[in-house]
Amino acid sequence: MKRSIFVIVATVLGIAIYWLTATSGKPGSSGIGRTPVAAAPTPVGASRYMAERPLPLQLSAIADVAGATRNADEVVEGTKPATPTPSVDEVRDHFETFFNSETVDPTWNWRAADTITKVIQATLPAGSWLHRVECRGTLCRVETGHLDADAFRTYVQAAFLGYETQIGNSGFFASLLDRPTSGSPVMAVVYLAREGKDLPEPEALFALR
Amino acid sequence: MKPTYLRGAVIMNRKRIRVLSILAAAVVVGTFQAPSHARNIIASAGRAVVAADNSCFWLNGGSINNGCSSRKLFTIPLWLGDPAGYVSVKVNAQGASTSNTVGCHAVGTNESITAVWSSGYKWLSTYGTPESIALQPVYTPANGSLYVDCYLDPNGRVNTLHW
Repeated sequence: MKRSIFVIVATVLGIAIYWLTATSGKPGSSGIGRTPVAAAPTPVGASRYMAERPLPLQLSAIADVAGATRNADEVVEGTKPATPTPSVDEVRDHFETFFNSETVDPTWNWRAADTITKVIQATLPAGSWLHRVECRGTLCRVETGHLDADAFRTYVQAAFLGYETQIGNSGFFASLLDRPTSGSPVMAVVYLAREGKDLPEPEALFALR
Repeated sequence: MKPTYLRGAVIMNRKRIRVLSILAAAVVVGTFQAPSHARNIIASAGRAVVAADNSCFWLNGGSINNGCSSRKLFTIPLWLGDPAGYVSVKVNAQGASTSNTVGCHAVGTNESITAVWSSGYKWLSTYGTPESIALQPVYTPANGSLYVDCYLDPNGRVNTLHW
């Protein structure tokens, strides 16, 4: 009888310790957005779209030790800090900062912009329009407008996700600038890596302020 | 018969031994590492992007081969764990030559697919033997999705994916 109690208690404690260590990496119930902070000022040299559009709230997710959705109270001692999980807006803002920090390569940027412009104009869905294409050192930025989010997805699929297009081999990050609302057109931005180059690594992307 | 004070000491020692044994057992069981977050999936979990190309892809022990005479596109959905963030995918593939090669890219999206991140296509660099194609990390926000598209030349093969 006593031996069986010992076995049961040992098993329960072991399972409890195992469960605690197994779930230490999972997000807590707080979720993103629990502690928003004031918006950062517009960076020097920001693009026109950045100056016209206020920066989103800088969420506390980047400051979290082990994942963007964890509650600060759940930090586990001795764990290796995980790569922060930013929001889509934050990723886009960091791409913008990275792009504006690049040195222009005059032997490449205008030719790349010309190629991209031709590809985009040939693949834009009906009702969509090309606003601007700009290339610098290793990235190009493409700004477009679309009737709705579906048109945006069609555009991304046709221009960037298919290898058949001249620009379909490169890595890219595409996103809408605002949450789509019914009946209103949407603006989108795509950051496209130079052919033969990769998009900036997360460490490089978030190293810039 | 042992004196009372000795019986008490014996009983106390036995209790200490039990408590220590329980703690020791708990520590031993609890120190087993939680399973890592690495994931693997077999290529046959995917499908042809163009439905009409389904007949081009044939199974070979779980790997996918392009049995048609032109390049075809195959897609494999991957599941995400917690927490979300940057994911690096490796694709084990094989091709016979530069004309019979395989290239893949990983794509992460947000929940509403209003944000898309592509790693860019990477292609086989060696031929005749399986090679692990390491794709650039892609960003996958919470509640987002992840998938891999691969272009397979004739007789190109995709075996497994790891992320």
